[in-house]
Order: sequence, then structure tokens, then C-alpha cells
Amino acid sequence: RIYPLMRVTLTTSDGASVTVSRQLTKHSGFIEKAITDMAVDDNAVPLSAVAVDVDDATLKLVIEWLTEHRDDALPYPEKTDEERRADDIPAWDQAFVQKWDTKEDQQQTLYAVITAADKLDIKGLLDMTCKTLANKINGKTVEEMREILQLECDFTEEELAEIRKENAWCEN
Amino acid sequence: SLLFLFNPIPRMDIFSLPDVFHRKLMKTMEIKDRLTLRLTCRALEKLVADTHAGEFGGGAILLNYPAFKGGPKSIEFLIDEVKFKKIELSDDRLEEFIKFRRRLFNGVTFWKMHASYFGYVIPLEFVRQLTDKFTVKYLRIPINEEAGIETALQLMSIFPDSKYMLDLGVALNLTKLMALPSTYKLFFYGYTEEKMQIPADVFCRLIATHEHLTILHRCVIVSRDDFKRIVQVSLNDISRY
Repeated sequence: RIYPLMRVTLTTSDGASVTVSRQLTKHSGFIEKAITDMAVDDNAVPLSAVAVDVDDATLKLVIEWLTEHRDDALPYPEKTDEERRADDIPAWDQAFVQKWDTKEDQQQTLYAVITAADKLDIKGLLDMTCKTLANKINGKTVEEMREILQLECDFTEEELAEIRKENAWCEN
Repeated sequence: SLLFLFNPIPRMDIFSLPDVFHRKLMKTMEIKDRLTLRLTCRALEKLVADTHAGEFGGGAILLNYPAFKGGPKSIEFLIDEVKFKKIELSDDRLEEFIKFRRRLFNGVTFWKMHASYFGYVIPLEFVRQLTDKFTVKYLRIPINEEAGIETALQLMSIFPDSKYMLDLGVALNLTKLMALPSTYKLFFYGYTEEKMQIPADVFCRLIATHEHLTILHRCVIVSRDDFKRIVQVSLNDISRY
């Protein structure tokens, strides 16, 4: 049972600390496990701080997302192989990610949030960021994909020709 | 410091992201995107080969028999609307295609796979290799000749965990009809040697064996006791789900 008023302090990798409601942290498998491992009475207030390997700026974004999704059902529904849709990102989440477009290094922010979602075990956020990146590269050309993913082509011309020849197995 | 000024912001690359994310991302890619990703760089080409393609609504393996004689001459393979070139059944071409398929994904799930063939012989080993690491939830096989039942059983043996949907349009005696393995859906529109009627015992057995049963152009004549039995079998069946 989660008590809405119960709060937990998180310390970030760059030394900041932030106190948030357990209503938010209940969506993080990592934080919930850390609290469980403390073996404290659920009524104990305040709880000891939980150290998270996420920097302050990224954690603020994560908390913003968690605040919007605080009432999402738990446990998060296990997605199996059929989850290949990427066009069902909620409007709020789309706007949330769009905001990063104004930042200098949007890709870096997205990657930082993805890494944080994985470290904190927030499945819904990981799914959403995955779909966001998928939507960026779906249907793009090779050059566009390289640009979006910031990749250098390290193939020789012969290797590229060989892959193109193999790809020709696909008619459309 | 000057050193700081000349150091660019550390660039995060996609390969620094967690494996769980890579696997998840690759499951959302369409086949066409996987083909394109293969051309971007070595590391992504490898990621494409090493990841599961996710689940697709439908797939098909079509064995083509020109003139309906002898073994199949070629095989067609489809993933949703993506069609692959006909695979001529010569050793070199088979090997080439299998090699390509293994570089395109290391597994795939189909909600429904349609396997169609005309004739008795299928290149079983090739189909086995082609569909290695495939998960097929529903395998649908049309059977148009009695001998095709054996072929269907062979195909079913490749996918032991699938649910089967058999479209049976062949003349079949009742013993053979009853001997069919359990299916999710049996659609029987062929003839039986016993003319139009299916005995109540056989009908009872069939509804106990197949989750969904459709029989066209036949009739079942039942007594009151037969009817009770049929209802009982159906109720027992329902209680399983």
C-alpha cells in the first residue's frame, strides 16, 4: 500500500536532492525496490534518501513525466511481441518530447531520459521514449537515419554493395 | 579552462543506450526499416541481425508447383505486405536466402501464418530452416487432397506450439476425419464416403477435439440422448477455458 502523503528524497549523481511523493516513485521499480530493501515500516516518515544514478536535470524531466502519469495503472502491463505500434503516444507525452526540440542537443536529452528510464526501471517512460525514437527513424533513408542517429558509415563500398544485393531479396 | 573549451559536449550515441532499449526499438521497426538500418553502419547491421523483429499480423509460405507435378519449384515468403523474391529450390539460392534471413532478424512472431501448397512433397528441411526462431500463434493450412493431410501434419510438427486452423476440402472417410489432431479451428467442406450424414458419435468426438468446428453441406441426426451428450461435451469443453 502506498500512502499518498509519504515522501521520499532522491539524491542525484551530481549531488542534488529532491523530495517527491511516493505516488510518483511507485512507478519506478528501482526506487520501490530500494525502499523495500530499507525494510522500514511503510508508515515511517521521512524515509532515508535513495541515491539514483541520474543527474539532476534529467531527474527533473523524469519527475515531470511521472507527475503526469502518477495515476497510471500498476503494475505496468507487460508488453509482449505484439507491441510494435509506435503511433499511439499520448498527446501530453508528445508535447513533453516536443519541448526538447528547442534545446540545443535534443538527441542527448532523449538519450539521457531513456537511460534514466532504464536505470530507474520506469517501463512506461521507456516505452514512450522508444516509440519516440522509432517514429524519428521509421521510413527514413539511409542518410537520414545516419544523421538522426549520428552515425558514421564504416562500410567499404564492396560491403555496401553486398548488403544491397542481399536486401534485393525483398521485392518491395 | 582552455581544455574545457576545446572539448566538445560528450555525444551520446545509440549504442550507449541499454540493451533492453535496443531490443524494444528493433521490435517496432518495419521490415523495410530493418533493410535500411542494415546499410547505416556495421554496428547497426549487427544489431538488426541480433534482434527479434517483433510481431506481425500475418505471414505466408507459398509453395509453387508448376503443372502440379513433382516437388515444388519455388517458394514465396511474405511478412505482412512485404514480399520476398521467389526462392528457386536450388541449393545455392536456398542457402543465400537463409543467410539473408538470418541477417534480417533473429526471430519473429506471426499472429497468423498461412502455409499453402499444392501436392504431396514439401521441402521440409528448408521450411524448417526458413522458419527457425519463428513463433506462429495460428497456423492456417488449406488441404485440398487427402495426401495433403500428411503434409499438413509435417508442417504442424515444425510449429508444435501453434494453434492450427485446417481448411479441409477433401473427400475423407470418417475414420480419417476423427483421426485428425486437435485444432483451434477445423473447417470441413469436403465429402465423406458416408454421404451426407455424420453420425452423432463422430460429431461428438469432433466437437471434443476441435475448439471451433464448421461443417458444410453435411447433416447430423441426433436423438435426444445424443443431444444431451453433445451439450455435455460442449459444457465440459467450455469449463476448460
